Amino acid sequence: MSSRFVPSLASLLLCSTALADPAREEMSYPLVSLAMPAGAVIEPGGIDLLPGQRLAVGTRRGEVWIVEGAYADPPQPKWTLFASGLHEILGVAAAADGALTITHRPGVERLRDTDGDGRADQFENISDGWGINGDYHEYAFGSRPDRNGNIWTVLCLTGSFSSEVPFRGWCLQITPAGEIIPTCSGVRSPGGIGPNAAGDMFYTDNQGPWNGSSSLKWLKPGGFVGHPDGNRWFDLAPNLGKAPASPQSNSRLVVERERVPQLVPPAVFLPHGRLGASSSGIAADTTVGKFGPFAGQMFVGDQCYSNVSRVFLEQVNGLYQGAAIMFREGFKSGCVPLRIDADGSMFYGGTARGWGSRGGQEFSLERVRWNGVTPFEIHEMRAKPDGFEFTFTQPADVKSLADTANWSASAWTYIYQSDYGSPEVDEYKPVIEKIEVAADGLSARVHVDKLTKGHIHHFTLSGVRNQGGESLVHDSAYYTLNEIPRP
Amino acid sequence: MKFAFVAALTTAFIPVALAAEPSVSIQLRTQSGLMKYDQSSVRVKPGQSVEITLENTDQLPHNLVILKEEGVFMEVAQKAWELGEKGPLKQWIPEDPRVLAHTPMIDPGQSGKVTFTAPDTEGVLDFVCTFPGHAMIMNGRILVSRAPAPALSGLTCMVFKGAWDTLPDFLALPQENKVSVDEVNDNLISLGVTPLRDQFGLVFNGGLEIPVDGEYVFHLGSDDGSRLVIDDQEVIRHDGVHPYSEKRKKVKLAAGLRRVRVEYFENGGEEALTLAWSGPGFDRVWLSKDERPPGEEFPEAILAAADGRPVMYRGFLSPSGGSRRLIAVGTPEQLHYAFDQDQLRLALLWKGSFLDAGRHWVGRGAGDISPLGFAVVERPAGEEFAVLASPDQPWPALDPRGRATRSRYRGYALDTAGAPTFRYTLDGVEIDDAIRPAGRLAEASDLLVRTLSLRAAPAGGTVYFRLGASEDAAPGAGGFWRIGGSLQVKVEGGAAPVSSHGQLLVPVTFDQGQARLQISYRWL
Repeated sequence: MSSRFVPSLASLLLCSTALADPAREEMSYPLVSLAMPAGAVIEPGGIDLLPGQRLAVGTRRGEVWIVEGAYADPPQPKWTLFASGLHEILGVAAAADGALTITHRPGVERLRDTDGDGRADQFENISDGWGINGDYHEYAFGSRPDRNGNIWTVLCLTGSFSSEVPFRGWCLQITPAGEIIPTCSGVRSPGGIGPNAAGDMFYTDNQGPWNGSSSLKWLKPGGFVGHPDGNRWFDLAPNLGKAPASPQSNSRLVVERERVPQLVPPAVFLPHGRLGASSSGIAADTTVGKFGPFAGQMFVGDQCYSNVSRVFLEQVNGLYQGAAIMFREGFKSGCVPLRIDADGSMFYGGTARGWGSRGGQEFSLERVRWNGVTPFEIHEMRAKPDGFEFTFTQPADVKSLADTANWSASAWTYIYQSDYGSPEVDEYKPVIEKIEVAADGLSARVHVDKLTKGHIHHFTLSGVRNQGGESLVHDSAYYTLNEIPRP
Repeated sequence: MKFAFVAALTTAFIPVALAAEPSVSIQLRTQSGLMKYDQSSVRVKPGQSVEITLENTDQLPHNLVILKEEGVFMEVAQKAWELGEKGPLKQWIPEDPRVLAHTPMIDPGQSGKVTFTAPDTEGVLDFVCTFPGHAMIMNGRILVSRAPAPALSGLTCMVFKGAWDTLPDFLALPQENKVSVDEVNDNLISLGVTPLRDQFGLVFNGGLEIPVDGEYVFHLGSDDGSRLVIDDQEVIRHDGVHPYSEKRKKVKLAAGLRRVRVEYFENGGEEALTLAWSGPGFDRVWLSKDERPPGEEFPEAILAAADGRPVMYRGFLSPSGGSRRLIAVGTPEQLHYAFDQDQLRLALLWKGSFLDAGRHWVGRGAGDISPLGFAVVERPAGEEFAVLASPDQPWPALDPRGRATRSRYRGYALDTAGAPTFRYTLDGVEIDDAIRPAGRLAEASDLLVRTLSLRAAPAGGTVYFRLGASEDAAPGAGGFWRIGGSLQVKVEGGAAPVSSHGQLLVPVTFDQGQARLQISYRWL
């Protein structure tokens, strides 16, 4: 009887917790909209920070706007047009000398205002060396400069399905002198690019062929990140040697990693239909506490669900992997760019055009700022040889933490295939055999009967309470277990 | 006469569907990159067996779900969304009593069918794609009605001859412009009413029965100019000399018989005139004999120079000579051009209106836009400068992807008035390329003047500028060469042009490492 009852109760709880309570998110991370000039259509594609608490916002209509007053409470945004006539800007990087480097569809350009009138008057071509064939889907996302000053770009496939011109489906680094360094193949349809706190570069890719779900992927130089169509351009990338072998469709990533050694699996899946449906902008928390208890972690937006998830990463056996946890919902339009300032302000650019988004607005610029109230959240989730270790942002009630009835677990993976997306497959329920709880209630070591390499391990801590009797703000965590740590 | 006209209309609206209706097949498509079906409403009869085929020409998977009511599609789509990870297994079809029928998820490039029996009573049903995020724009209506789709009645046509650039006041034209007045028996607007093909005008007058109070969309397409007038109110003006394009307008109309007038003129070249309308329960019913595929329809986003500053646009533009990186510049003088970043050349020149970016700023923005104005001149593909040992050497070819092999684009700088000077390099030679209007549109002297400044002579060989193909042995009046049939050019600076492989080449002469050419482009 109970064995029939418990799963349905668990799924009931899952449903109710999947729709987290935005009011509880709001208690620590209030969300405000930044009003735009009446009549203007500003669809953000890239955001960077300028001195004097100003923002540079590049747009899908090819404009760059400067925003003042975005940090004020309440915000008093004042918008000034800096540049126009560019083509679907999906990357903005401000340099110390005042230049703005933008990544747009045709290439990477450096914009300068040399006469000081507040408008760009020099549009210098840094590189336009990749192909575009006129297909709308051939988006180009660009990072801010890495430690070498290089802009990392990820180039969407033609129509998001094939690579019809050079370097569609690639990550290219563009040096300050305009040289192209082919860096990774296997890209499908990116939604954002940016480094983690350690400076390694990541991008998000969207559910589709060879991508069972949207995910956050590590751009390991020389790596192949999953979609084979762009591999036809390896003759243009002599620095990377031979093209990887073609993966077999209708397989699993863990199987194909054996066949294709260059294949770098997604660091973290953002499970489709659970955390979102279209991963986009990336921001690392390098604020050292100004943005709350998540210093060093990453944040990933979703263009369809108009939300932001939080990602904890660790390296195991040379690969990145980790956990994704819902962070903030209730934005007014679908996320594309995401940027966190050192003061603890997160800026979120929204655009619904072409794909549809939750939230009801066609476009937006929104701000989330930590108000100093620490939410009760899972802080970190680390893989162990026979389970996971969880830490918390506040002491949990030790009794509730130690009770296995307050926890549930499931695990699944996706088909690695040329068809669009994947259902969740190979699912099973790991049995929680033992929970060791720290006396301070800040961590718990969970032992399960079986871990599976390549599976997403989903834990729901629905019954865990803090010492005030409150549940976790977000009680679900999804850990992508590329590698099982050795004992 | 008038009495008979009304009686005929009334007859046409008597319900006739007493016997079982034959089944009907309807073709729907998804529009690539727009997240829309190609029809927002379709018409069926009560009790009819309906088969709808959905052809998915988009790059995302879609389905087609028929609902039993109108106005509930968002609620049903929301329930589909809540399926979460179970959605793909269930084809994103929620368990909801309002679902009448549905296709499975249809992958890109595939087709799927749904069959159902229309309700026995007249009314309206929703259809929708329930894949998460799509429903807000990807939906439509099925009108279940016995009435046939409405058409024009009592149509007449006046034919005029004359040469115009814009619509004249037809009714004020003198007698010598009038050719004929006739009834149009099939009540369809058509250019077949006259054998004239150039320099003529038409005025159609007829009645249109508005079935119910509501919003109606008229789609007026023409080459050249046209306008639509309903009960003496202008609804659409699509004036001027232009290639075929469609304009549309939504209007509120009260039920009853309205007077419709369509005016049209054709100056020269190709000609076309189409009219369709959509309303509650019907979509793009043709009122003209000529039917053009709907194309995609976009709200206008007209770009124009403002505050005396040029406007620049880099979205995909055609004709492009194979380049995907054209930089269009719209000037306050209404003399426009496009510079080619891929091939380092002046690619297009045109006059009048600059561009309509509507296609690019709606949905995912798929496809190219074209110059909105007139007198569009397309220049030949290929780099315009080359370093050659002799003028007989073949001109450098583009690479297989239509990009320059010798010249390299460096960017542009804007002057204080916002006008760009493009910069590129060729074998170590730095080239500044500034194209500016001289005169304005509609002035007899309008032209585009291009100043090319070169620095650092090449180490070997001569720099040549390719002026274009000319059949003339010498320039004509004012020093202008005719090139390409629609353009004439004058060169100042450089040595005398030489003819090579059918092209006029201008040898560039350097003085202390500097050279300057000035090219004037005048429309013929």
